[in-house]
Amino acid sequence: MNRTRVMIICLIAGVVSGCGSHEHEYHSVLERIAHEGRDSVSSAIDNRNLVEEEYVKAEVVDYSDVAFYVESRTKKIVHFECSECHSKPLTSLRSEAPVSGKKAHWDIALNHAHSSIMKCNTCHNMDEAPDRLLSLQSDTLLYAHSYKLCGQCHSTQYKDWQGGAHGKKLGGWSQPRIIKTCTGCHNPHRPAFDMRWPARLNTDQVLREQELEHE
Amino acid sequence: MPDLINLLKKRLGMETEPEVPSDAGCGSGSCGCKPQAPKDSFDQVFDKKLSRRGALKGITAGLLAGTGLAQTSCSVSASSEALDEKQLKWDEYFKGNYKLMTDEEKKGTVERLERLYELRNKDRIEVSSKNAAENVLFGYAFNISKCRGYMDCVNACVEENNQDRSSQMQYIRIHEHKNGQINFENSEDNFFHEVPAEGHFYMGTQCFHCENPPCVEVCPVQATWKEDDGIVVVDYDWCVGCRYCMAACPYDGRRFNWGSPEIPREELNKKQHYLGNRPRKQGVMEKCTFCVQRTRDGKNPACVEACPTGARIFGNILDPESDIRWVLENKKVFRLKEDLGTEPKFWYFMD
Amino acid sequence: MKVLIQFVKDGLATTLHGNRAYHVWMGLLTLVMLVGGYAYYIQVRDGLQVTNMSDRISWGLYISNFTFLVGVAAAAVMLVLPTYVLHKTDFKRAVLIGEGMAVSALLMCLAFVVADMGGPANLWHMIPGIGVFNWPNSMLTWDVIVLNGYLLINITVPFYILIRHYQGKEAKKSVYVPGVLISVFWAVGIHLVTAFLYAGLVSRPFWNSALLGPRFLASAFAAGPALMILVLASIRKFTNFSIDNGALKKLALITTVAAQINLIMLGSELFKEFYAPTHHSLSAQYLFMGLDGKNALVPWIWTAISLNVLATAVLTFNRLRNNMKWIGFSCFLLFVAVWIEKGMGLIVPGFIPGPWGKVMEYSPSWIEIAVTLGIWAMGCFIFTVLAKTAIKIEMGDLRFKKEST
Repeated sequence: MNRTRVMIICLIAGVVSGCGSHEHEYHSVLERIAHEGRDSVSSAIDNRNLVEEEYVKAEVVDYSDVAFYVESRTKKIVHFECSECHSKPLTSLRSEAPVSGKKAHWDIALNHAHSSIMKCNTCHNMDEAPDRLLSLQSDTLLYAHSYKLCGQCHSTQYKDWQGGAHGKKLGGWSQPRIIKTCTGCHNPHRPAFDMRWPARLNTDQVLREQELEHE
Repeated sequence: MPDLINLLKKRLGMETEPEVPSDAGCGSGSCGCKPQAPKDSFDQVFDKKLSRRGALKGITAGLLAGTGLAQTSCSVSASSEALDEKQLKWDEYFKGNYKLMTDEEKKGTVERLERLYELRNKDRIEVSSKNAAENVLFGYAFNISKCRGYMDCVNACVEENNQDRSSQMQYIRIHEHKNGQINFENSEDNFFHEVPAEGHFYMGTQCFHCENPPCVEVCPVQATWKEDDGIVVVDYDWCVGCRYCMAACPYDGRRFNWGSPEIPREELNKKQHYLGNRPRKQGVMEKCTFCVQRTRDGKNPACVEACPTGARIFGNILDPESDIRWVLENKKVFRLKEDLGTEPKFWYFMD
Repeated sequence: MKVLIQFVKDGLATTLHGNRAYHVWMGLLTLVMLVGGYAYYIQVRDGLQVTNMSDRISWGLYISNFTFLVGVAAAAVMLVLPTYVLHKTDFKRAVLIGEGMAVSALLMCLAFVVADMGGPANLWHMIPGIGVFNWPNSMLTWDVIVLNGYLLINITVPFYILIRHYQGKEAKKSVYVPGVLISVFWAVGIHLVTAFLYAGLVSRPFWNSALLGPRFLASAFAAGPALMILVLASIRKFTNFSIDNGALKKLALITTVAAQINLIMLGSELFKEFYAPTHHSLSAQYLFMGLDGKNALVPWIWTAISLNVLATAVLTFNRLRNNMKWIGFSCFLLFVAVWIEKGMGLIVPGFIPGPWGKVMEYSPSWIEIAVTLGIWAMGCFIFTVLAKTAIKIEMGDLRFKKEST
């Protein structure tokens, strides 16, 4: 009788110790997030240490109330500042062209929206505000905050971009977020991406697998 | 074999004797005759002088791979570097499961690995043993609308993680689906044309780092486990190569080294982590580790970094201010094979 | 102790002496084992890439044979049960042979597992204490425990009986009967655990079925006794060891019933897979009909099913089952059929299609075939050694002679 009792206890202990090796288990990831992911996390890793490019604080936080930074690419614009050439009105620049030759960006073709919706002067006003962008309400914007312009039409992508579902980041995954603006990936005059060949073709692998089958 | 006994004692938590100094070889007179390290961590050359019947008898008698120990011979090499290497290989062979090591022991093993590489290749690598950070649980999101089948992620992964080039090992698969259904039986992962193809869309798969990983359950030696930050890792030196985890994974997350992995010298990524991209050996399992050598330093995995369209999103799902949390809370996400109960930490969504 | 040493010496002597046929047989087996050993050396040197296994089909010929042989080992209990528990004396002579067969089959299983390992030098990692033994989570650890336990029982119980008979003494029931009783349940255990290895994997719908365990048992109890019958018949032919026809007939009855149940279970599986096929039925579709133009296993499985049905039909008729010639013929067919159906016909389709729908085929490479044949030769070799010694002792020819110093 005693021996059986000992055996039963040992059996239960063995099973329980096997079960007890797991930590507190949640039934789903969402459950775990609900329990452990409520409060802000102060990360030991500061994302700013991983970023070398220049960035500024983003100015609009319509859809998400978390502050983030954007890459400031003003210095990378080749022909900035515009006012270096656009000190005279456009009409006079055009009239000089046959003599002084076509300079700078005559070759920019606008392949963005239908011409009934968008022309050069939709976003630029070279006569009155050469070094700024123009909003739909004719407010001027810094080039560093060009995303506000894009968000006027592309509100869905704008919302996604602010939250983190659209776009590319600088640095890594930790806080604070430092992300590229729209023009960091999209050419504002022809924003769509072309077709291209994949970076790698797995046909070699297919050939190898076929080899294995024929052996 | 005093060192073996010492190591066994250490394992069982008993007091150990001081180890024989490493320059006491057969040539030096103070013969602390140490058996030659039977298996080195990087190439398992199994010298079959022992008859198979004898080997099998030894194995079946106690499941001890005694064939390794049977190959003992005193080293007559006088060079201290060679002895150093042998001592390192011996220590590495008997070191135990990484999951059970203390931080000091982890440091010890990565130092040995760095030194072994230096001795063999006259070059330095950096192997980290950094642990998971607190309050971090990694999650991943994949935007199906944005993936265009470029495979930049695959290339970046292969370069970052020092994968075998000869078998073209890839952790990531990109599947080309025809519009109308998400059915992997009908998808193609070996496309050979410009992308994105008309009427098709793309999805990438890799190890999903499940919260309830079936591969971890089935490993007979616990060579694979889930770290505190949610990454499912493999201790390459502990794996016995039974491939049970590969049978158990529903997502084709795991890869096996059927041969000896080859990486061209100039392409080796020297910044490594013990659980991540350090070079593996023949006969062990490996998989995506969410680039543990990068992510524990705050960087994104190589695939996330490389994707030109921003289709891949990574972050700490316990941080309510992270991108990944925003995606989970604001986009319509789903996971693959959700009914299996594996709780993968890799979500898909569309714009 | 003296007895033990003498026992081993006498055993060795028995093994080394025999008639011409015996030597030819053993020589052939040794040759095959050496070839297998060399193939294994190549495999260890170059890695498992010398096999045709790949990331898609990561278990092949080795694990197929392992699965099949676990069943054969479990079936030895079919002799143990009547002899020791039901005291059917006509089984008495056969039971030690059966346990010898179990031991050989188990050693073959262990050899197949080791042959399949990517890192055999790391197997000590499984030893609890110095390694890590992932029990109770991993079904492989359960399998290691039950297989080794069964091996232990099947070595110790006959060993005890034989060494007692060797000394001319009676084997005490109180010592061996408990072991025997345990082995009956344990035999069912080893095969169920091996089935659970596969049935527990949600990633492989072909295996993830409640019927897998019972089907394993049914096919094991069909193939195991079938092999026993063939072996006993050949022992009768080549030695003076007489085995009662009654024992063989009763074994045949067990085989028949098990084979019939196996067919019923097959029917049940075919219905489930093909009445309303889902994406989970694709593996069965590959096996029975081919998928995406790939149909390498289709002729194999239909051969297996035909042989199975034919053998079961023959055995069902009393008149045929009681005819020694027909028993031998149908047992052989049944053995081959179950080998196909439970080996390649179970393991390989489990991996096809892959988790993302990839259909890739597998057929073993020469290295795999050589190692497999080597291990089968090893099993036959071990069995011959054990059987010869046991027969000699049981016939009273081998006895312990007290050496006069």
